[in-house]
Order: sequence, then structure tokens, then C-alpha cells
Amino acid sequence: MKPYFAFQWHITDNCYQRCKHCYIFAEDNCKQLSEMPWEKMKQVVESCEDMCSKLSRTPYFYITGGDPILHRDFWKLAKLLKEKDIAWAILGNPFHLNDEVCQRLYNYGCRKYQLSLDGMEKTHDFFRKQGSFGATLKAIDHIKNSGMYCAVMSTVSSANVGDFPQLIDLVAKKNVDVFAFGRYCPTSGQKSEEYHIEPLAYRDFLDMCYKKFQYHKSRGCKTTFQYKDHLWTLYLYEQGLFKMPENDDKNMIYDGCHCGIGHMTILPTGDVYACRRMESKVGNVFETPMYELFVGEDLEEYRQFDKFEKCGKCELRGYCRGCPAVTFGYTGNMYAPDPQCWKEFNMKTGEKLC
Amino acid sequence: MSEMLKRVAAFGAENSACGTKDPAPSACGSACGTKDPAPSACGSACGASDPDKK
Repeated sequence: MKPYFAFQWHITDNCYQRCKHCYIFAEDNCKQLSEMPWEKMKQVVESCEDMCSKLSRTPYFYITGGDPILHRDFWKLAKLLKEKDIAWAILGNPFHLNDEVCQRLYNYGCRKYQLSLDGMEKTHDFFRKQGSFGATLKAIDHIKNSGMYCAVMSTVSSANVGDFPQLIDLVAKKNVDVFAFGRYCPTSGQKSEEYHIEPLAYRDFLDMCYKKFQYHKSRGCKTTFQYKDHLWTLYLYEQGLFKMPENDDKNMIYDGCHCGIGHMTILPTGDVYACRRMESKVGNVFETPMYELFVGEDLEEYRQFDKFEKCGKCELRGYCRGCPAVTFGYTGNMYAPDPQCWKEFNMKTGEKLC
Repeated sequence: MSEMLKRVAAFGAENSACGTKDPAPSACGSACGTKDPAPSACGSACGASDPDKK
């Protein structure tokens, strides 16, 4: 099969929650809720299919919002994707899910439903909505009953980092299929200070998580604990668990952030972003086909691998590069040093990184 | 194809900025574990792969 290309598609802004860290509702964003009309949705699918065909890729839609299930034509879209045999998943809310709805999603080909847990009950409900934590735990059972994969994603910041030991135990106990976390992307200077984690503290946090993951795996836990944050590569490298091949090409990019490489984001307005976690509009799908946007100059600005100020000197440049969106949130420059990267020297040359 | 994309070993990925990868088996090498992340047909240009596929 041809490799996947991921489209994170926000079909609606409508949502029952107003999460404190949500980039959609942050600051003065989203004064008016948008929802993509059905005719436009069909156009998006066709444009993404065309792009993938030209790139020899297989489309994979991550349908999200807002809460995508609130879109008035959500089920028409599900039917369309089923008819086209296109892989898709949902990044959504726990509300409105029951066994019947989940079975319907599964029957329409939805292979994975991703929920969010941002801590234990008090923390999670503070971020999201009273009752959201309890609803999420119930939704995990409904999703798993249906046959879909159940993924749980967390956003880590100084506000909830202390909850993670319990949270990891919880997802293992609930037997979710996938657990991962990403770092909070600040949407203002004040928030970057308020939610900041110091680099070495973040390394210690990864160390705690790694040991927790190993503990649960050793006890037969079937959850896939994904190393989504690219700073995991640095952690594992230092632990001797990730090794670069000796014959690699130092000019090449093998892994790390795939912004502008393996995924694109489409908003309800048709605006296309390199990455939804930062302000990175590259055009609009209703004005320019997705393929043209992918090969266009605007998206190329997000692939300037030689511009990474700190990573450019690091032997892990081809594999890590941290999270440019988090960096952008702190500095306004995705190529600046990652605010949680604790690495100081190139371990091959001894050069100081910054 | 763009000059920068020519430098990417493989640019396929199934996980979005906010999404997790499927736990299903794949031929893709791991960014984080025991598999070799060297240039290959796998889509490892794009985010940490599963360390332990089911």
C-alpha cells in the first residue's frame, strides 16, 4: 500500500467545550463559529484524493472540529468516506457517544476515535468542562465495544504535569489502544510563562513516563504508549535506546516533525495550515487545489531544515527538531530553539548548540 | 518536487499534528526503539512511530 498522508480536517468550530488550552478559541480567535457546507466538503475530499494520487500517497482523514459529530452533515461525510474506502478517524469529544453511535461509526469505517484526557478528574474538568472526565471514561468503553481503536491524547504543561503518573495508570487500566501526549502550545506570552516547563524538568517528566510505560508493559498491558513528542528521540538517544545508523546522510531528514511533509490541516473555512498548532496558513483549498498548496512556495517555508538555529548544529537534526509549533508559541519563530530541549552540546563534535 | 522534500527520506505519515498513530502493525521503522530509522520505504519522516507494535 502507498504510504499514508494525513489530513487533519476541522469540519466545524462548534463544540460543547471551551477548553482553556484550545487554539481555536484562544485569545481573539474564532469570534464567529464556522461550519463547512456539504458541497464544499465533497470538494475537499476530491482535492485531497487528487493530491494523494499525484504524490502516490494514501489519504487518511483525521476528522475533527470543534466536535465533528455536531456538524449537521457529519453522517453524510462518514458515508462518503466509506463509499470511497478512505481511511479515517475522529479527534472528538466524549459527549453524544454510546454503543449505538460508536457501532455506527465503526460500520462507516471509522477506525479510531481519539479522546482527550488532560489529567485526573479535577484537573481535566477544570481545563474542559464539569463532567467531561466522567463522560470520557464512559466513552472509552463505548469506543472499545464497537471495535474501533480508542486513543487517548493529553496536552502536558506545568498545570497538569503532576497528574501524569496517575493518568498513565488510568489509561493502562482502561486498556486504551493508544496513549500519547503533546506539549501545550502557548497562544500568548503570558501563557508561555504560566504553563512553562523547564527543559530539565521536562526530561525528568519523560523519564517518569518511560518508566511507567515499561512497568505497565511488563505487566502485560496492551496499550501502545506512543512517543509522539519528538523530544522523546533525544531522551531515548541519551538512554542508548535510539541509535542513528552509521551510514546516514547528514543532509537528509529521516524523522521528527512532519509539518509540511506528511500532513496538512484544513479548517472549516477552507483555509489550509501547515500545522494547526501554530499560525501557519498556506492558502485556501477553495481557491487553490491541495496539490498546488503542497508543492507551493508558502508550504516550503515550513520545510527550511537549515534554518533550525539550535537543531542545525545537533547530530539529531535529521531525527528530532523538537516541536516547531511549541517553539513558535513561545517565540513567534518555529526555527528558534525548542523551549523544552535540554541538549547543550553536539555529542559527536562537542560543539555548543546555543 | 520541492528542493526540501528531496531531502526527506520518506514523507508519508498517518498521524496528524494532533492525532495519534494507529496501533496496528506496519512496516514502518520506529523513530524511538530498536528498528533502524535509515532511509527506507517506511514513512518515518513524519513523527515518532510506535515503539511496540501490536
